[in-house]
Amino acid sequence: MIRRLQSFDFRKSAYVRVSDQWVCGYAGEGRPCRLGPNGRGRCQSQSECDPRLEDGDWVCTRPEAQGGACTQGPRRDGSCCQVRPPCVPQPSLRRRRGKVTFWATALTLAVMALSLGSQQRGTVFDPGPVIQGHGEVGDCGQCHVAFEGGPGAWLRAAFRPDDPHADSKKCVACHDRGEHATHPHNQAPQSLQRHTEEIKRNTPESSPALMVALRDQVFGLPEQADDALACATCHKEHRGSQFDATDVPDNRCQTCHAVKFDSFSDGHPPFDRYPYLRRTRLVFDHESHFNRNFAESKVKNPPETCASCHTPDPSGRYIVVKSFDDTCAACHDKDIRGEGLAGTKGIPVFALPVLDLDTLKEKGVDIGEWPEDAVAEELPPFMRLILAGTPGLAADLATVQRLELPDLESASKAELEAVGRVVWATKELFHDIVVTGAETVHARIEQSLDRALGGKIITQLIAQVPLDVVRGAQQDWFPRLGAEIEARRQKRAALEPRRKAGETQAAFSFRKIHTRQALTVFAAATGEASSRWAEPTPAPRIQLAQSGDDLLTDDSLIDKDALRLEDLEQLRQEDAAGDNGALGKVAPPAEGAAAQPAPEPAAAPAAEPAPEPAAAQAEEPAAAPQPEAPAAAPAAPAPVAQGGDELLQGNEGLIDKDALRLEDLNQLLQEDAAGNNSALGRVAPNDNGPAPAQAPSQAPGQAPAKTATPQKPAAPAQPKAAPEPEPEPEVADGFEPLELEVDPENWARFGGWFRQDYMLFYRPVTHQDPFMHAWIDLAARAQGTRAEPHGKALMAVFNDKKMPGKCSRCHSQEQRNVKGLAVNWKPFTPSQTKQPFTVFNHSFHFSLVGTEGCATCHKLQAGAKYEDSFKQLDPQVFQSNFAPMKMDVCKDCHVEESAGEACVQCHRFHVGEFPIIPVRTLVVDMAGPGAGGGAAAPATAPASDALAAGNGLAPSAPQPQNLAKAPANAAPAPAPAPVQVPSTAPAAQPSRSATGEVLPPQPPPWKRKQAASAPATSPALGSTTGQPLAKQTIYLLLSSHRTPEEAEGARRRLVDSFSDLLFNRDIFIDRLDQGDRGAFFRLLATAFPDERTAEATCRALQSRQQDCRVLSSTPRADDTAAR
Amino acid sequence: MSSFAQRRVTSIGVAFAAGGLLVLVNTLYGMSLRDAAFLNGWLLFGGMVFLTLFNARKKLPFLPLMSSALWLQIHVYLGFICVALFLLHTSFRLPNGLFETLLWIATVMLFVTGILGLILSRRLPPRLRAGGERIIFERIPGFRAQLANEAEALSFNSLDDTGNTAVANFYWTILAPYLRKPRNFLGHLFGSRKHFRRLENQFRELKRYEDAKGREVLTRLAEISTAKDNLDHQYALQLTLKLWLFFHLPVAYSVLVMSLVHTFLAYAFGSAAP
Repeated sequence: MIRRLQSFDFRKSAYVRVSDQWVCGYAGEGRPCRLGPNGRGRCQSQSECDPRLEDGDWVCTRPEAQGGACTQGPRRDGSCCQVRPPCVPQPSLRRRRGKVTFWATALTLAVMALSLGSQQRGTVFDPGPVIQGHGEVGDCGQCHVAFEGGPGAWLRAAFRPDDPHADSKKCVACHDRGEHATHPHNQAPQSLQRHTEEIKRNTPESSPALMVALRDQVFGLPEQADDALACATCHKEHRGSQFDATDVPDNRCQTCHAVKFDSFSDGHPPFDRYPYLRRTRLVFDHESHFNRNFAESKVKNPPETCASCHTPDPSGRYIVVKSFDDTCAACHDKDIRGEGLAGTKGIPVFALPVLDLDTLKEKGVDIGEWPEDAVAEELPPFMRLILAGTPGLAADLATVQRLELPDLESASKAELEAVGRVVWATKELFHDIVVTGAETVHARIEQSLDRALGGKIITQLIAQVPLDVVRGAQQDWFPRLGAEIEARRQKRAALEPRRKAGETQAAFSFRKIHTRQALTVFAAATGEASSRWAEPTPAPRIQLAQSGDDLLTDDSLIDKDALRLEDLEQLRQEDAAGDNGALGKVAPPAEGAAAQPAPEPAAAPAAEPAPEPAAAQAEEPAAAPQPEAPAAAPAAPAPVAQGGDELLQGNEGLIDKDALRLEDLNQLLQEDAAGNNSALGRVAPNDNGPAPAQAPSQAPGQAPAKTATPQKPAAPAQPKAAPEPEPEPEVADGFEPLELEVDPENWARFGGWFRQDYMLFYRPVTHQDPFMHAWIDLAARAQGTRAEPHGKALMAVFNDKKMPGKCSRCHSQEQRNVKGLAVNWKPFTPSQTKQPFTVFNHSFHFSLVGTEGCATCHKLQAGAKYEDSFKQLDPQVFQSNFAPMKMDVCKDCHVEESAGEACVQCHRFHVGEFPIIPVRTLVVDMAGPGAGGGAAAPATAPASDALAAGNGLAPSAPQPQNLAKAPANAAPAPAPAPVQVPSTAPAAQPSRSATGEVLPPQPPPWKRKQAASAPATSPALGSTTGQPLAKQTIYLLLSSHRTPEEAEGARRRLVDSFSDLLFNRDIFIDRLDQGDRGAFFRLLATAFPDERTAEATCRALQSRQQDCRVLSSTPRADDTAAR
Repeated sequence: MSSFAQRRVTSIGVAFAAGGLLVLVNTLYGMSLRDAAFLNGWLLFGGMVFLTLFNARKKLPFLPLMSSALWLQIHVYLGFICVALFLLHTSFRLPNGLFETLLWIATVMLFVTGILGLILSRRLPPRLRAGGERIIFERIPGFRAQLANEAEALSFNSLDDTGNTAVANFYWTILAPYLRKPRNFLGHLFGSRKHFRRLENQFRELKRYEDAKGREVLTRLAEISTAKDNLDHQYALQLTLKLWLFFHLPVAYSVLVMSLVHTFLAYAFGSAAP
């Protein structure tokens, strides 16, 4: 039996409040006072009772619980006689608990506040390690824009963020996801919208899954003005180095997709046409090959398995086609060279069409010399495309194309003149190719397309044509081409010195350049100082007549096209009057010339031309004297008078025009009359002489020369270097020329160039023939240009099954939105940078396909109109040889509990082409500190005005570009204070310290570690003193703009264009206030390890036409003032 | 089914339903391309604030804010829901960073002490009732002093009554230390009676050598010792019922403070849409 202690009678027990903060100090002794401590913990009672006055007597009031009234009673003064010393109140348990709670909370608050305020806040609040791929990221500021600003900026970012996607922009600074990096699937919102609507149209209405429907009802989608998504929406970080940041849950995909379903095994739309959505790039009809070519034993060793032609790519993801040599070559290699073709086995590149020379002559259209036995019916498309680049010739080409060139009787005068202009353009083309090289073709093609060509195509278009081939053709076809063209150009230079009204600047420049070019070459060939001919004097004819001393100025002898009978008569009269007119310089016209209705020298000659075996040589630049030597020739006419025979020998004959005077000509006439072989004898029109000697390096298989004679111009000024025709070189040094046993076409049966019937053919050599490749590409690129008709005609040549090459038989052409017509030269090639929406790894499934192999999924579909797909240019219109795949093949394994069915197993969110940022390593970096002397290199080119304006400096102002030349002991100046433009610079940007001071931008994290470990100063690379320079921040000033938007646009372009040079660099926008001049937004790059690297980068940028200037952290005076 | 069991089943059902609803909402929120951590984080924070209000409610008994018993019920079940929210919020993973680890540990401590308090408040009161006389915790020191004084007086008197010092020596060596302070805390907490049986044996040993008066004194001392043992029992269990709050409450407020900082940081650096 337990003794009971507690009583609840109020008279016998004290009332205890559990909420009291203090307890009487005597409570522990079992005798607590009657009042207890007050709220502040002070003892309130020092006696056992407060006596009460009752009928004049003081009465004890001690409660019964404490023993009741005492025997002594109160004192006389009414005080209690039982005085107790004050106790020491004890805190109650509740108070103690409150104290602990308070101090624990206060401690937590203090720790949080101290942590937030300390410099180690990044460490304290670091939410954990990042994934391995981000292991090099140094501090939070590299990914979080708000971090650098401290708690104040954190607070602002938390509640009033400037840019909700600022952090995502940091992500895409490294993870380039294109222009629409933060938009769903990296597609433009409008594009995605169109695509979505298209899918909705083509997809039967279906009720969404329960969860999706609920989601739509409860939350909907985030309201974002620009429909942009933060990277962190799907990619989580700070979950450890081994965390897979790309593991995205399915519900992320189900949020938006128009066709909503629960899982792959439940509701996934059928594959439809996948994977045969797009037309194959190579035209290969599996069915016809399998069922006909291979089955009917047309092929000796037909492929046995799919692996005979296909192989996995290195990643195992894709199955690619093996090389041509491993697959198609066995059967189709000969097709490329045209073996077995019934017709011609070469592609006519250059050809002289047959012309109705009689009609042209009859109608007075001068075309100079032209072979009468040409056979080509028209200009080849190659030539047409090239000639279309001649200013003003496009319409003529179109006219000529309409005409029946062999019969021009019904052609109008204008049409015939068009023919004449085309003929002369053709000659000029030949002339320029021979004289100046392939560049003239390039220039014409670029003019024709009105766009610049670049890269390999321009080198492959004509570069393979040997000089001897074209020169041989020219010598065969146009032996006097040089004189003809020179004369024609002189005339044109005289008549058309200035830009014609309505002529475009490009056409004018083209004409001017080519005129000058030809004159320069001709001047070199004739011994004239190039400077003299480089600036043809646009003197009018009347001036020429008055200035007789200038025999061979613009309206010279050679300007025969411009001479008319009345001119000659006038000149003769002037000459007779004692004036040194031009007539004295002109040989008397041949007989019958006066009968010509249009007595142009070209049409004038009726007599047989004198043999001129050295005529071609006179045009050969190689035989021309050095320009310096003949420069004095005009001032020394004496040799001409002294030695008539030598007058026109070599290159100093008639061509030494300025030295000729009337008396010289008279002398020559006299000598000629005396039978002396004077120069005039050589001037006599006679084009029926033997053909020029074959060039020793003539193209193989060259046909015999068939130069027509009647149409050859009289060419009174044609240089005649030899008085007598040289004998045919039938026997040279005792050797007889070899006769070809095969015709040129067969001679070139292994490919290459050959000439036949005034046509220059090209026969493809092998697969991937560069010439064919380049011209087909060119024909494709002509689409959308003014040369498009010629491009189409050219493409028709390549598509002609009767032509060799047969490139388009296998290489499909397709229309692309941006680049126009494109030729698929390669089969599907996996791209490292291109990310498709759907991916499938073939190699993962090889072990599952069993005996059926590839046919497990790819089943041949009989009767498919595969080849019809290639009769048009849209690659999306396609009927495959293979039947559409069935989902059942996949569903057997791809369920949640087996192979998985997550969306991201087969689909990628980021769709598009994302370049891999290359490693930027300058050679100067690799050369080491001692190499180069890059720091000592002179300052780079002056920046543009805009650049200078942005600097606040005139372009000529001295620039602090070479830190190595700065005083070594110069105090380190404060870095320029770039002001961050909000939400414009995703790269590392300048920041502010806790005190509001603007700090220079931090180097990238992978540099910061190095910087942290590096000493504060480093030896000045390239410094002449070798003294260490104070550590300075080096900037490259790249451009300057008026608005931040422009600057941001420029920044993007720079990053795109110069990613190889500016990788690892921080590119940011710096606002510079120039007072009255306004503010400029400068694009700066920094984070260079040293000045030498910065300068090398700057030079590299300048070499690529990018303005650049090196700035050190030392601000210029005006910069400082401006700031 | 008794009303208590019915009430418990109902409460558990409501708690499970609320938890399931929260999980559903959390999932739907995540499906809307938002970061569900913001939603479940706010729910968790709000839940903890509400749980804290229970303490305030106890300090404001005069306000008509439902009974404390109902508040306690809500506190308990909402606490369990908060555990579920916490697991959702942390994605069932351990934290990596220093601050987040501290917050995680504090939150787990909060839950653990809460659950411990729940267990204690369910287990100890029956034992308090089953032991002996139920005594108000604040009165225990007084009764303990009263019993000690009484025992001391008996021991002094025994010198005259028995004429030997055996009883007095027994008191001063064994009983006085036992009676003056709370003893055998863990024994009482875990329900052990070994200490008291040892004391009873000591009484029994001494009685064998005492005469009738001595045995009478010893019997009265044994009664006092039994009463003291009951005091110790009450003291140990009631103190335990009060001591767990010494952990639960400070941790709760610390977690609230850290949660505020955590929320602030999440908004400052969380890149996803909240």
